[in-house]
Amino acid sequence: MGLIQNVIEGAGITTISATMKPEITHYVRAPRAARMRLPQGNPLGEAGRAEQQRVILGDLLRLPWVITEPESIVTLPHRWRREARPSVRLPGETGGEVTAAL
Amino acid sequence: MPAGPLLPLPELEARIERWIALEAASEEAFGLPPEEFSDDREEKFARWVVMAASVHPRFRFVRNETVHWSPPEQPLAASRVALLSTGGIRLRSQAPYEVDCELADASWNAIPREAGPGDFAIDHEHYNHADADRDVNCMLPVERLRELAATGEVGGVAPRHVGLMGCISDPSELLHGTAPRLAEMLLADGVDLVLLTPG
Repeated sequence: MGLIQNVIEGAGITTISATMKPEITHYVRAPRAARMRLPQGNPLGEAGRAEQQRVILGDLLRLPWVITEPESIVTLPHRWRREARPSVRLPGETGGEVTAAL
Repeated sequence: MPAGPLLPLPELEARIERWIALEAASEEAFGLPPEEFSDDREEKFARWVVMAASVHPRFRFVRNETVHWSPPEQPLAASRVALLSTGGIRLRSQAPYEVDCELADASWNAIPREAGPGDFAIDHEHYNHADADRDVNCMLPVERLRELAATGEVGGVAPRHVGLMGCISDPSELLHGTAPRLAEMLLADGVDLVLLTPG
């Protein structure tokens, strides 16, 4: 997926990829990625949980405004069947948390 | 936030060779529980390479020699977003993907933004997509993206999303044929941001 992502990014389009295999993403050298602590098959969360999916999607889409270094892999705070976690905040917004890379 | 320096390829290859030797020497090769191994990403990666090469004769690991970088030029609220998934997702009306990884199905399907939950099929045998079969939004969040556009958090939804197969032993056609054509389509659609999700 990081190969396709890099071609799209090279065409001038901003990209963000979700990964459950950050070690592969790291060596493929994806331009910008989010490590999801969620199972394969569920990168956006659980079936039928629209609010959870919406929060995760919103966080993923905000990351290109937060990640400033190429090849960064940030870990999103959402966990499988766990309580709500702080969301990604844009620069200037208060609160929120993004944990360090890989 | 940076992911850290990459090992030079010869050094990485040497480590992979070491792991191949260790795996070969171990009677329980892949039967060891994960806690027997460290969290070291080089080791995890090397183990994945060994596993993939042992299962898929045509497996070839390819990485980006040059990493492109196109940061956003406008706020998210003004950005047109497209979704892309390599989870083997397509419309029911589109031809199934080839699930044999050796055949390297590099085809892709354009998915209209109006597509709803009942319109999808998933062809992939390497992960559990039971949830996504019930609710496509866990993998390709088409409805959730429309909702974020309706509230103004996202500037707009691209007219077409993209579905691809994920398990491809040799990515040559994917990299040099499919990906550039995809990028052309996304540019023609005025896409500013693409979210890529795996299966």
